[in-house]
Amino acid sequence: MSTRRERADSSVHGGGSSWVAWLSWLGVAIFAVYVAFMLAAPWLVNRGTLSLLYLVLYFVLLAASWNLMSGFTGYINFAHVAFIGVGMYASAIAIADLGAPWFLAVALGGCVAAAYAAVLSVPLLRIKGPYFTITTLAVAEGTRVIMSSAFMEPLTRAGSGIPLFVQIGFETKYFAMLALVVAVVVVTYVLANSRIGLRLLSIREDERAAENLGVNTTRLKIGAFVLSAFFAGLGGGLHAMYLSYIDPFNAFHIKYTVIPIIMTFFGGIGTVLGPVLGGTVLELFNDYIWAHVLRLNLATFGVVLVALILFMPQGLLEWLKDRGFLPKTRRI
Amino acid sequence: MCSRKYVPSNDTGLTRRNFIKTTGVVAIGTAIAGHIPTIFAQQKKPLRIGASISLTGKYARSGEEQHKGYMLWAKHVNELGHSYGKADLPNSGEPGLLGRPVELIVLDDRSDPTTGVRLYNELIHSRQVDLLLGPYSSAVTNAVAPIIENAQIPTPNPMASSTAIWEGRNLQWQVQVQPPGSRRLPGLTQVAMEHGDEKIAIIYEDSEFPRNAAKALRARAKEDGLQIVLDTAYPVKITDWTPIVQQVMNSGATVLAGGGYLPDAIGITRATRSLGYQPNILSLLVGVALPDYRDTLGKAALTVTGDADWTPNVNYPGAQKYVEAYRSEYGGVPEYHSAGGYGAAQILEEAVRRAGTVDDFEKIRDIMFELKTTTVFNLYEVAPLDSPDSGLQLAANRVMLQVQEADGKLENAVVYPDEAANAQWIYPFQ
Amino acid sequence: MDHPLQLLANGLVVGAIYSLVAVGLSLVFGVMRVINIAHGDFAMLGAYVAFFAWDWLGLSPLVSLLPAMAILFLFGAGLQRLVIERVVGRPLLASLMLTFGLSLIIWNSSQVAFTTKLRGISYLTEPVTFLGVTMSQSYIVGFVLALILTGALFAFLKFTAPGKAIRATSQNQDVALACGIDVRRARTLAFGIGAALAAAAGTLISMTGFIYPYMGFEYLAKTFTIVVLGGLGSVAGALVAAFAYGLLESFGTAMLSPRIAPALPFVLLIAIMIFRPSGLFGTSVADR
Repeated sequence: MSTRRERADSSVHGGGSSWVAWLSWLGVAIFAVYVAFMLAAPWLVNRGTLSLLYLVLYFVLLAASWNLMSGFTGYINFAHVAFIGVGMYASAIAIADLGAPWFLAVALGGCVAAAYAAVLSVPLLRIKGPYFTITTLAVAEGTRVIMSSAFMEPLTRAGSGIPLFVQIGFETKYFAMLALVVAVVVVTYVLANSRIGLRLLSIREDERAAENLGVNTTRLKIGAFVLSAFFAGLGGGLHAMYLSYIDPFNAFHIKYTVIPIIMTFFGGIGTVLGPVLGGTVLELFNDYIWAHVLRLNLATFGVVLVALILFMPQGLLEWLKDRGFLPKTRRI
Repeated sequence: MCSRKYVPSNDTGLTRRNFIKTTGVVAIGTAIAGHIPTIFAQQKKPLRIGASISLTGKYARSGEEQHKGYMLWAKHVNELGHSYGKADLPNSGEPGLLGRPVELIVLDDRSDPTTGVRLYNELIHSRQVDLLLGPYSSAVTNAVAPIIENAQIPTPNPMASSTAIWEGRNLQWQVQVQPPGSRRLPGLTQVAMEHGDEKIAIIYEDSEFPRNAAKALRARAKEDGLQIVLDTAYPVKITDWTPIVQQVMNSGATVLAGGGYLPDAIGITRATRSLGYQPNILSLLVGVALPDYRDTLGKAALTVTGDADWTPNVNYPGAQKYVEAYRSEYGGVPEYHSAGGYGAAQILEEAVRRAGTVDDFEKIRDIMFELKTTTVFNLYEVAPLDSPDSGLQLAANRVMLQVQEADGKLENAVVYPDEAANAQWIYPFQ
Repeated sequence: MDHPLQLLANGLVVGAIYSLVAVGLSLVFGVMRVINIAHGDFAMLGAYVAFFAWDWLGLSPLVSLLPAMAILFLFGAGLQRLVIERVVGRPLLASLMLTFGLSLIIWNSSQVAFTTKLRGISYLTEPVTFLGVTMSQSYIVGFVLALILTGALFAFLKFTAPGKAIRATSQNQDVALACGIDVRRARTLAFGIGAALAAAAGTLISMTGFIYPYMGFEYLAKTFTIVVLGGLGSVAGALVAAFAYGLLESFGTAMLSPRIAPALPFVLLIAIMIFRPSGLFGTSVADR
């Protein structure tokens, strides 16, 4: 508990002295370089590596969108894949059945996921702590079953899945994913530096105290939840085109909840660049071990995860900040 | 280390590892190398054939067997210059494929289509393999199909029985080797009719392949005048089948057909036995053909019927030698996933040999689509290139198996069709 | 609805096996505030102990149940002491991530060690009929054993000194500590017991179903739902919720459809959470 409180203190007051305020632009600079590299990548690397970078961006998007809600409010949401999956379905149906252009389909994916989150938020956000976490896990599983029910079959084709063919190049999908990543990071940055962001953090630290001080926690939580789901839905909607075939089992697979959480945790929960850093490093690492440790790749990942929790519990960014490699500011 | 698990101990060949530095951003590399006798390691450039298979996750059990099929094929081609039953083709004699040693590059897609797409991109563009073989499962095959179409590399797909991958899509570069899902559980409705059964229940896992199989089964049941008293899917990830089998029992069906994969077959059989349900026919997809089914259930498996793409006692050219080779390499009796892997690789082998080149993809492709042949696995003929279902398997067929007891041991007997049968269909289910 | 008694029996038998897994998970949460994702993997390991004892030594699963539980008790207690103890008191997410990592290690290594082959024990498969209810003997034996084991757990918690220590730690760790209870030992003991009960469940599953390295993960959402339904930390609640889950599956399939029945417990969970945000039998842990 105490580590959490200290961290919040440092992030709230860290921007105090002027040279640190100046240094805090470092985060923006780091991200600008990152985006510049990703923008240039299609001309630098071959298609195989580009498909890896695409997945890196996809996971960064999932991690950053999860962070928008859970990182700031401390509500550990295990229903993220439900929003990704719903976004996938909305987009796939729009393309396969309505012949929508791809960007509209992606937008629709985001909107449907956001609407779904808005509906769920009313009952869900009353629940707290581990109850919230496990209930959201049940929401994800329940969504999968309902999407394959007879009632939804005319729309979702249940277990048969939806094949979809989109005549856009791989580079287009890649740039679109990059644009989504930039959008979610900018939103996180703005949020982290606004009064709303502070209020959200106050929910994480002590929700009751925040309420007593006049913070409308319910409205804030719903807002963060819907925003988080919106980006997850956009990501899912775009990723459906990468897959060109979606079915309930894979669209709602729990690993697309868990892996982004691990990535956020690794990079730094509730930070701006944590999910970017965590998503990038872990997906590259994941890809590396999968190629080198054929049959034990998941166990290797597990060992690293355990070591991480035990030896770097506050995440990479905070670890760097604690050791003075990065300024203590909420802007990173 | 584990990747070498199946390389035999008398291996004198090289295990080749490829580290490809792409841009300095990240190094991705290594693979399971095929089995390359040293004789040509120095002489000719290896022919690198890439595939992604599910070695972990949901499909690991079957993916592993398909992988064994690929590896055995590569071994035989490298040692003999041809695979079993393909000695008479043009351009054989020299070890390897057209004299070049075959090197397999197999990666694990974790039973996940997202990873599968990434892997085929990786194989084609980063590893720059010379040729491709298909992945395991309809789900992954479906997801990677557009990648392969775009790259324009001729690819046989061993284990994708879903017809939806091909139907109406006019695929130009990929062929189906496995008998399509629409021809599942052959003979079931006829046998039921002949014995005067009237009511059938069809239950199936809610995923692409079982649904595909159920659709065809439903049509055949109607055609043969059976009354379908229960027809329902159930969601994936079920761990207890008792409630569903109870429903079947209550429906009064005397024929129970369906299931999904191996777990479904075992689960449904367990539930049927536990509830003391006695239909006249119990017929299940996939599972019955696999040794795990009999090993797990013991005598509870007796007289259950199920279909198989292949059995170890078929007489396709080279099949018996293949069974022997599998036994000495890995121990035990092979089942159809491994034979399917071997057979699909044979289609590629035959197309390449007949084309006399590994570089002219169009020529290889055209031959692959026109070919009418037999592998150790099955018959092979696909819908022609200019048809809407191009690449869909037309010739391959299935047999119906029944678990029977012979000399105190449980065995799979072939009971349908008559020309392939080696035993009588025991009716009713006991 | 036909055969209500049969449906009841089906539901109770499955519920009994769920309860073995869920009770341990809830116990562990109670004393440690840790949600153990690797709990299902303990069931898997226990199942393989029983399977190999049967396959190699010809031991009946009813005999190998005890060594399976003993081995998993030691494994669980050791794991708790060495690794999981370190995240006690840390935020929920730390323990979730840690146990997820452990789960990956356990099942992926098991897959390499035991192969992906599906296995099971054919033992007491003959069905018997009683009061119009038909069921194979293995299911009935499993049901009775599950009841005996949960009964033993309740007696242990209620009447023995270490059991009382576990309950005290679960109710209020600080007070327990002040009363001179070795809370660290209570945590290790509770974790070991949880693992042993999961192993028992695994053994029963190897008799009534089938086993494979990945199986722990398949029971995850199910067991978590049960534990939350009953109220985290409440052993009695987990027991009741496990039976409710089994009955819901059984009657839901018969009265609605097999396609929608698996969603029922999740819907029920959400409904209950709206009215009782800390489960049926739970006390609020949100503020701890």
